[in-house]
Amino acid sequence: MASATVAVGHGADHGHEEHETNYGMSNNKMAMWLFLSSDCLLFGALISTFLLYRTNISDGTVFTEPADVFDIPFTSLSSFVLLMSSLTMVLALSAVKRGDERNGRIWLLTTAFLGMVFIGGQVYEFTIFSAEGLQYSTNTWTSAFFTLTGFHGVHVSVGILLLMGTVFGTRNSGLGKEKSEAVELVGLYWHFVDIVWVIIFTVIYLIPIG
Amino acid sequence: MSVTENTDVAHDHVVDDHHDDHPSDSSYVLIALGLAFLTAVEVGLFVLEDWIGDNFGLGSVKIALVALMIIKFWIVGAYFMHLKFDNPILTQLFVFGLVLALVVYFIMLSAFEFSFWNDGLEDQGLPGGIS
Repeated sequence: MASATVAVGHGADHGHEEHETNYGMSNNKMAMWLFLSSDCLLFGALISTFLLYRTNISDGTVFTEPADVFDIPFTSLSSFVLLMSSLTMVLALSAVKRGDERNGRIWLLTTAFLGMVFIGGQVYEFTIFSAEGLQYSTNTWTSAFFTLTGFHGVHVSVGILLLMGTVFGTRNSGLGKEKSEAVELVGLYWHFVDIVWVIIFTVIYLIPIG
Repeated sequence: MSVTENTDVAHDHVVDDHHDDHPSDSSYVLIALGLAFLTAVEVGLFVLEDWIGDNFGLGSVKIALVALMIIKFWIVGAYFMHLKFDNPILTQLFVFGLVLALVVYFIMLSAFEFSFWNDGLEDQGLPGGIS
């Protein structure tokens, strides 16, 4: 019975016994969470730098309020698209865990498509800013803004590549239940990108300065 | 029944229970709709900022937006990233990175924004320096 107790404790995480750590989960999953944890420091640095420079602008510009610079309805729509991509990601994982390969692939491709829509929106926003004279080197505010949102965009783009790699890299081998952990890891990364945007959207776009 | 068989049966049972703990697809849809609703409330607060700020103070708008952000963050982490259902060590690992980032950057921002730490910053060409 003692043996059974030990086995239960170690197998309580999705049953991937062949890759378990002492904590009863796969090394890959632990490594992904460690990476996401460390990524908090990267985005923490970028967000705090933006907060620091949004009122301390190097060229003496008096920055007013987010409403005067950002197109909030448009960015809200982009945020909605990214939130919905998190939904399609969990539905993809759910389908793969059920062994429903076809729907798993459809939801993964839908997630990648929504990610592309979000990136398209970000490129459009950057283009508008540039046309209005707000370029990367205009002042410290624009540098901090483009660096922060640009890094987030790069994360989303990497996520799209991971999603496409998962779909097209398994064309021959199939996307069965045994691949659910790979899908789960891509999903964790994708959801992390989503929660970072939750913070960016509120802190940078919505919270008034005054 | 041997110890090994007991182990397998117990293991399968726990794994099945574990999967049952996860929300169903329809629950995920409801959670996503809830997140969309919270985002709409955030945008509504932003639109009504002037009116709310005049009547309740601008601080109340900021507090409400931060509270909604934290709620959305928690919902995505707990349900979409399965932290609520997974091994607690994963939550601890993630929270450690999050708290470390918050503490480090709070100290960094404090160094630039609080006047009692600011002596000489402007002389060195660094931002900050509330006079």
